[in-house]
Amino acid sequence: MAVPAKSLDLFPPRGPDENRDGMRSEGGSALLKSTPAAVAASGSHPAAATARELWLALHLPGLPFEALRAAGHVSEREYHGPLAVVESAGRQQVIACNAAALGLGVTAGMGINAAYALARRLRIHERQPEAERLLLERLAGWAGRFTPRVSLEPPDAVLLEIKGSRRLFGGIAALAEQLAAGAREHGVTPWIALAPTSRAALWFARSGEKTSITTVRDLPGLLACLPLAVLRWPEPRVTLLASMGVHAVGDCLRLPRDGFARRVGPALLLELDQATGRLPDVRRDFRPQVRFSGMRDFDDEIGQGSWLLERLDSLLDDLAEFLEARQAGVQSLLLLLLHRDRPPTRQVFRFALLATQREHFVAVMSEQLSRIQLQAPARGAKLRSGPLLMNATLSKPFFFATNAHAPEQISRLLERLQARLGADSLYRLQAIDDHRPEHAWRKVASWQEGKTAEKKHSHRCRPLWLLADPQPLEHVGGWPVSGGPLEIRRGPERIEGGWWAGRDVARDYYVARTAAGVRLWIYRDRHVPHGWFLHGFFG
Amino acid sequence: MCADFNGSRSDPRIDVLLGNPAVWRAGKSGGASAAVIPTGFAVLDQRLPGGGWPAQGLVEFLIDRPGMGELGLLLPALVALQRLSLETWLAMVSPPHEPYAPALATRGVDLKRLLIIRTPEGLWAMEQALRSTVCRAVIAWVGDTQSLRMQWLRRLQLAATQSGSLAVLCRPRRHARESSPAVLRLELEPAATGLTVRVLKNRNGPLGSVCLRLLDADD
Repeated sequence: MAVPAKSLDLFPPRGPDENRDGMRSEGGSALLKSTPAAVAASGSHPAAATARELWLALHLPGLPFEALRAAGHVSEREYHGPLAVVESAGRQQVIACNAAALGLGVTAGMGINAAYALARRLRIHERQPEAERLLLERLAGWAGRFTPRVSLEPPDAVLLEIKGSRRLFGGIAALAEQLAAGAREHGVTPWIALAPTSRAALWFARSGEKTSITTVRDLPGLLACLPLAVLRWPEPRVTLLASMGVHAVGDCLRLPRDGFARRVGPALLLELDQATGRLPDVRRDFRPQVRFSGMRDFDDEIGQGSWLLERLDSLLDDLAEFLEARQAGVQSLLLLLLHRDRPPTRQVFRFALLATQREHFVAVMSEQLSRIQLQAPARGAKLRSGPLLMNATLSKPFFFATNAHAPEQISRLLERLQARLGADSLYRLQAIDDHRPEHAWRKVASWQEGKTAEKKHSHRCRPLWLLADPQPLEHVGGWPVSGGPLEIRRGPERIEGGWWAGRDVARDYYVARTAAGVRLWIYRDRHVPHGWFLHGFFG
Repeated sequence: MCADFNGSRSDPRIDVLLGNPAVWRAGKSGGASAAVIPTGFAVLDQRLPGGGWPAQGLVEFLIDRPGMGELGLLLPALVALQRLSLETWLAMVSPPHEPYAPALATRGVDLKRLLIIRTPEGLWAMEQALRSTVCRAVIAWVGDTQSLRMQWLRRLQLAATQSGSLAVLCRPRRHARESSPAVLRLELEPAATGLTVRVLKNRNGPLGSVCLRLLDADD
C-alpha cells in the first residue's frame, strides 16, 4: 500500500505484507515488478511525484585520449587522426581507440601489430591514468560551481546532484547545456544523463542515451532496456547471467532476489537496489585539492637550462607566499616549459621532506635545471605543485635543537645526493630482532622520522662489519685457516633459527684472530657438510 | 722585542701571531687551540695535538685491508659527536663491507642519523655531505682503482674546514709517501696485540707510532 508522499525519512518504509528480505508470502518473489502499478502496490516506494534527489551524470568515453591531449602528450593533429591507447608498454593490446581509428577498423582488444596492419598512420600511446585522474578532478572541481554535491566515479564519470540548483541556472536543460559547454572548454566531450538516483544516472550516461528522468516511478521501466555492459560488473558474473539468459537490466530486476543474491552476490543486488531507489546510495563529496598553479611568460626565449632559474624567480616567490599563507608545504613540483610549436617540456622535482622555503626549491631545482636538455627555446613556464601538506612544526624542545635548520639541511643533502646518484645509493640501517645475523639488520630507504624507539641491544660481541655472503674457509685438521692458523679467542656461540622461513640456520660462531692480527667472526655450519665460514670483521 | 724561546714574551703583537693555530712552533706540541674530539684511546690522545681528532679538517687513514680496524678506531669519537646534538648526522661513503647494525647500535651509534652512501662517485658525495654542515663526520673509503688527485684532497680539506666537520678518508697504504693537505695522516696496521697506528703527518704534533688495543671481544 502506498505511503503518503510527505514522509521525509531517507529509507523508504516497507509495506506490511513483505518480510524483512523482501520475499512475498506467496511462492516466488520478485526484485521488482516492472509495471508502475505493481511498483505502487508493492509498497516499497513512496508514491512520490518528484524524486528527492536529481543526479546528473557526466560520462567521459574519450577520457584516455582527452587526457593525453590535455597533458600535452599528443598534438591536435594526432588527436584528430587515428589514435589508439594501450595499457602499458608491456601489454601489446589496444584498450581504446578514437573514432578515426574505429573507422579504419581498429577495435579494442586488438594486438598492436594487427592495429598497425589495418591503419598505417595509427599513433599509439600508453595510457596515462594519472593524467586521466587529473583531468577528471579538474572537471569535477569546475563543476562545483553548479552544485555543492559533486562526486567522482573513477575512472571516467562525474556525478552532480542538482535538485537544488535547477532554478538558479534556469532549469535542467539550461544547466545541462552549460555543463556541456564548460566540459568542451576543458577538452572533454561528456555523455550526460539525468535520473533520480546516482547509479541509474551513471548507467544511462554510460549507455549513451540522452535520458532525463525525474520521477522514481519511471525508473525501472527505463532501466529495463539497458544492456549489462553499462553496469561494468565483473566478467564471471556477467557470463553467468548470460548463461541464464539474462542480458539486460530488466531481466535482472525480474529475477528472484534471494536466488540472485546467492548466485551473483549481494553486492550486485545492492547496486540494483540503489539504482531503482529502493536503497540509498551515499556518495562521497568531491573536495578539490588546493594546489598552487602559476604561469609566467619570459621576455625572451631561453635556450639553455642554466638560465631558466633566474626567470623562475618570481614564480618561486609566488609559490613561497602561497605556501606561507596556508602554512603548508609541498613534496613535488611540476614545471612545464612552454615552447612555440612543441608540446610543453615537463620536469618534476621531488623533495624528501616537506619543502616550504624558496631557498629549498632553488637548491633542488638548480641542479636538475642546469642539466636539462631543451629541445626548443622556452617561451614561458607553468609551475604546478603537488598536493599541499600541512606543515607540522617540529615539537622538539628548543634547548636540544642546537641547529634549527638541520631538518631542511639534511633533506636538501638527501635530495641532492639522490638526484645525482639515484635513490638506491642512499640508505640507513635498522637493527632487527632476529637471531640469524644476516637477518638482524636491514637497509631502510625511507627518510621520515621513525616512530618506534630504538630497542636496547645487549648482544655480547658482534663484529662491526658483516660480509654480504659468508665466505668459505679452508680448514686443516678440522680447524679453519686463513693465511695461517687462526687463533680462537671466544666461542662457541650457537645460533639457530629460521625454521619458520624454510631456511634453517644452525651455526657455532667463534671470534678468531689471524696471525697478522685481524679479528674475524667465523662460524662452523652444524648442517652437513659442516663447513667453516667467515662472516664478519671486528673493527 | 723578540720572543724568548723559553716562552716569556715581551710584545703583545707576537702573542697574537703565536696564538694563531696556523703557526707551528717546533718543540711545542699541543698548543693548538682548535677544538678536538677525544679519540677514546688515551695513548693515542697523547700523540695528537689537543688530545684528540681535529674537529674539522681532513684526516687520512692509510690502511691496506679496509675493515680491519679503522671503524673501531673512530667509533668512540663518532658516538660522542652524535651525542653532542640531536641533529648531528654521520655519513659513511662506500664502506668496504656491510656495517653491521646491531653492533653499531650496541656501541651507541644512533642508526637513525647514520647515512650510508654507496656510489662510484664517492668523492663528490663526500664533499656534498661535508658541505651540508649537518654531517659532522664523514668517513669514506677509496679503493685502489680510484686515482685521487691533489685537487680532490684540497677540495675535501676545504669543505671540511669550511663546514666545521671531520672528514676521514681511508686509502691504500701505498699512498703513504705522497704529499697531502690533510691535517693528520695515520697509517694503520693490524697487529697481534691490537692495532698499530703510525702517525705520518701531524700538524702541531709529534710523529711516531703507537700500538693500541681496540675494544676487543675479550673486553
